[in-house]
Amino acid sequence: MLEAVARRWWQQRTVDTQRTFTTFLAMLLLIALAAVLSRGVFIKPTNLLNLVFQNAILGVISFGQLLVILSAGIDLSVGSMLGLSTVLLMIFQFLGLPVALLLTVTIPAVFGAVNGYFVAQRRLPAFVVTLAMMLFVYSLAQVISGGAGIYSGLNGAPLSPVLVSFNRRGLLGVPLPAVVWLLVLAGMALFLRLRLGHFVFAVGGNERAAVFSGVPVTMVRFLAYLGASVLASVGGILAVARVGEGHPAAGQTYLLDSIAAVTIGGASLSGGEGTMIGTLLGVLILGTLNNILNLLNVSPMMQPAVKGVVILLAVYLNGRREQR
Amino acid sequence: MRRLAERVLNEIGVSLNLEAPAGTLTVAHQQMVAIARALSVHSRVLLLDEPTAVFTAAEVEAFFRIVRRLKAQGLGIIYISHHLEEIFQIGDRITVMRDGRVTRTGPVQEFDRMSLVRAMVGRDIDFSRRSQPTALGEELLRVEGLTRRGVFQGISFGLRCGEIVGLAGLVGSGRTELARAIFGVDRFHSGNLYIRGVGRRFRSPCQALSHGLGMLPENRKEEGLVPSRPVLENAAYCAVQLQSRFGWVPWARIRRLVRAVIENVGVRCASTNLGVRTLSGGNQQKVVIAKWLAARSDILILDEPTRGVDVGAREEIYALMWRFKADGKAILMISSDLPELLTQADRILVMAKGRIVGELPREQASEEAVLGFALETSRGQRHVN
Amino acid sequence: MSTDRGERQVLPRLNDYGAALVLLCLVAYGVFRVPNFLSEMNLSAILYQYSIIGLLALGQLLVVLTAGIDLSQGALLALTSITTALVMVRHGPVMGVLAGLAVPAGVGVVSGLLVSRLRMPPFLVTLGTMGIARGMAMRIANARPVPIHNEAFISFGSGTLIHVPVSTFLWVGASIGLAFFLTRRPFGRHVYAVGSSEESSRLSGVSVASVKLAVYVLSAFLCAVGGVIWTSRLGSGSPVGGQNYELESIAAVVVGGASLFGGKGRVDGVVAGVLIFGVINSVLNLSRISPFWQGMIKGAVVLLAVALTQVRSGAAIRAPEGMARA
Repeated sequence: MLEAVARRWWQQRTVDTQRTFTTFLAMLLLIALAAVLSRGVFIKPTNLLNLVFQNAILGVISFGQLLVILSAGIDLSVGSMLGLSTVLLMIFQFLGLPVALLLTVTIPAVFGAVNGYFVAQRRLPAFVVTLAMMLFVYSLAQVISGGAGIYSGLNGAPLSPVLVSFNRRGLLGVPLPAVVWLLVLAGMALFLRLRLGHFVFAVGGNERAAVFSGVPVTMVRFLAYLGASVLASVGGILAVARVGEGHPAAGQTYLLDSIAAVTIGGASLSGGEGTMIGTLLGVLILGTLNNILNLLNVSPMMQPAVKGVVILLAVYLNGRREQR
Repeated sequence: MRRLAERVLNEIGVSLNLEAPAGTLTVAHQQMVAIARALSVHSRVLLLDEPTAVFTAAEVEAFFRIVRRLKAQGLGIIYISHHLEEIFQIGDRITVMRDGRVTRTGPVQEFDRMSLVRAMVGRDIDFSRRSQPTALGEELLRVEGLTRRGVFQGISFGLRCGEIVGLAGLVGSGRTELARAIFGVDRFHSGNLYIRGVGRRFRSPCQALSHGLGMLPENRKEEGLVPSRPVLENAAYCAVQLQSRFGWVPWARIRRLVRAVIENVGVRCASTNLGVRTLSGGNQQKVVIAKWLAARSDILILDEPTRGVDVGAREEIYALMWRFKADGKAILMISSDLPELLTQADRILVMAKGRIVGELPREQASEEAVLGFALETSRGQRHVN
Repeated sequence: MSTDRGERQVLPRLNDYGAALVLLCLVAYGVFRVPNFLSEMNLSAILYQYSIIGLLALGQLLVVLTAGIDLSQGALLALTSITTALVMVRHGPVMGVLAGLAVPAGVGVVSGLLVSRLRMPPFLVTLGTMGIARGMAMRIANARPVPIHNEAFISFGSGTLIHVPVSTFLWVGASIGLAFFLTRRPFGRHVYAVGSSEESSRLSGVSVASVKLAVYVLSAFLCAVGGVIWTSRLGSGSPVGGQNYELESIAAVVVGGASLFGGKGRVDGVVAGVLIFGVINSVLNLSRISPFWQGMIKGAVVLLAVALTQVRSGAAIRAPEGMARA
């Protein structure tokens, strides 16, 4: 009797919800595994919180990538944008923190707008446009920073102490990464309930139908790419706060990881499917996986291989559920 | 490879430019190519699925000649079609399916139109049901001299509150293109469009929507639905676009409205949260219709509203159209189904080769009259180019 | 040349020859404004460097023609390198090369099966196999390069025949072979068919699964060939090399006029695309422009080339001029 009720409940959930739920179960499984392997150390609150802090940067970037992927696109330039933003933050410090932060977010946003223009308005393939932008922005960051990392501002002063301590103390005792990640989460959730954000799913799911339904497709797409860049630069701010350095290559690993996280979280690369919570779970799963590998003494060299397997597994499982 | 292609095309009596990309052929010719391809592998059984959906009358004749020739050659043919007249013309044996089961099978002599429909539906359909004329109000839409180079020219007509205007014509006459141009999907090059007396030129369906227009596209699945998204969401797209202020969406209100419309339209689904792709074809159509009803457009353009819909659902759609009419709104209905036009439209405009060649008020309309207009100018040819 | 707003009315010819045009302009710039551009040393250096990417790009073209993508090429390069070096140490150069060709091809089989049988999206599949291949390479090499001591093998990669690098011969040969295969052999036609319309191909009896499997295996094989050459030049097996090579090969393919949606693209375009990057590289180096600026210029060139050569017919909603559909 209970089984029948449960089955009916399950069948009435949307595909998105089903996938997210399954991803949630997967994460619980992984956490359980980690707990066992670490003899309980893993699930200590401090460690779990640490998991969140460590992955905040990936989390923020992955939300941006989610936005773009939902619109049936992809943004290969997010890693370079992050790198650029770290460099920008360092060199603009002398203007004072608020102005520096503003510039750090708006300049990459301009490039994001260029992405949006070419993909949304001119309808060029997102892969190539963002690939070109990735090369361009990375190179730009190198030119600005002279190719190396930046440890101090233009005037030679070290990174503003405010930012670094913020990283540890944060707001009301909650460290910065968590605060920012939460804000971004809330912001995205709000955006997806607004008109243009809501339409992202339609634009990615079936562009023609969206056009015929009167959806302003170009604007929606444009905003997705803009958002991805903005979020990438927010990630950059967090990165600088963490390590006190700006480097063009700071974002390199985040590109593929963000795509992995979004995919593991159940989003489809062809657009129109995926949830925020799913992406969040995807990020945490990646983080937990890393932890588990460490606990198992697996060499870090094998990380890409494990990630590769996980991605394949996630895609396979997602695909299976779709076919039913 | 060339020789093989030439040979099979000859077998079916068609001659084409072998170098032309397939996408540039007329639809009828594309079908011929597909048939030729089937022949090239020496098929013994040929399965034709709605082959004449987009043929002119002349092309249907030519096609049947080919089919009869193939029959004489000993090929077995399974011919799937909604066009009852064709089935009687070309069939030897009829098998009727409904809901995934065979309901009746037998030689064609055993059937007549009524019994065939009964096997499809399980009840008699009254062909004499007509829409009631309504008092007409102001002119909602007017086009004057609308032209899109090479596709349609000099189109002029008006649409008033409470009217259903049917747009008849052979395939290729430019009806869908006209609708798309009015709705902002394509452009028109000259002429004027007036909505409630004000001149407009829509650059996108988004604009058209905001001025009270709606269009049910011919191709429901590809142009009307986002398959991965829930039924409720799909049906709400237009409403969301129209009722949001500064991006803020009144979700509670919209959900209530859309749920009511979905029920009104008669969509059968386990839950409106389910993806629209889990629904049957007919129900999917209804979701698209629900979407436009929820938009509360004043002017609805329906492009083949009952194509691919089973006979039962057809009646439900007509009922919705009548209600729309009675509410003082207007419908422009493009249809290739003559009985449908004759029973539902208050007025029929006939297009041929991109022009309006005739107008028939309800009292004067008959199949012969409509076809007379449609064929007179085109003489069995299809090309506008 | 857009006559109707929103329509991509680029000259259709531009799609096919846009790459050659851009290449011509770049070469002209190089000849007239850059010292030493036309020297034998420089030209052969371009060919030397870019024939490996050239081989990768050919494989990428095959995959892209079926509306797929192969992100694992760089990782396969490294895997080839390590495998060749390690096997060579114990069993000599011939076995080494064979192993180096076979192992990546095996990974290609895996990718191909996942895409063709399990219908998984190529982007993610090759993302996965990329990680796996890279991880494998790192693991079996313990993250350290494996030195090679076989003189014959080492000189092979850098050798020249009548002043032309050996690798170039391989590339040219492969290009000609692939062009022939794609235009004259039925299987080659099937590749285009699958990319243009998978459904129609399937309904016409084309074995879509076999075609898709084949292109991933071929791509992996071409990577392996490139990898062997690369290894010989390095003089050792390296597990860390090849990073981002796949992005270069994709860029070359796209710049050469191929469509990521499948069904469109030619070998000559891809060759032009590869050479475009080679010439850009050379021009920038000879002009003594800091390497930091190179990315910006490459990015701009890719964007320009794509804007010129990509005609999006897939999701097009607006009807082209003068065509009545139905």
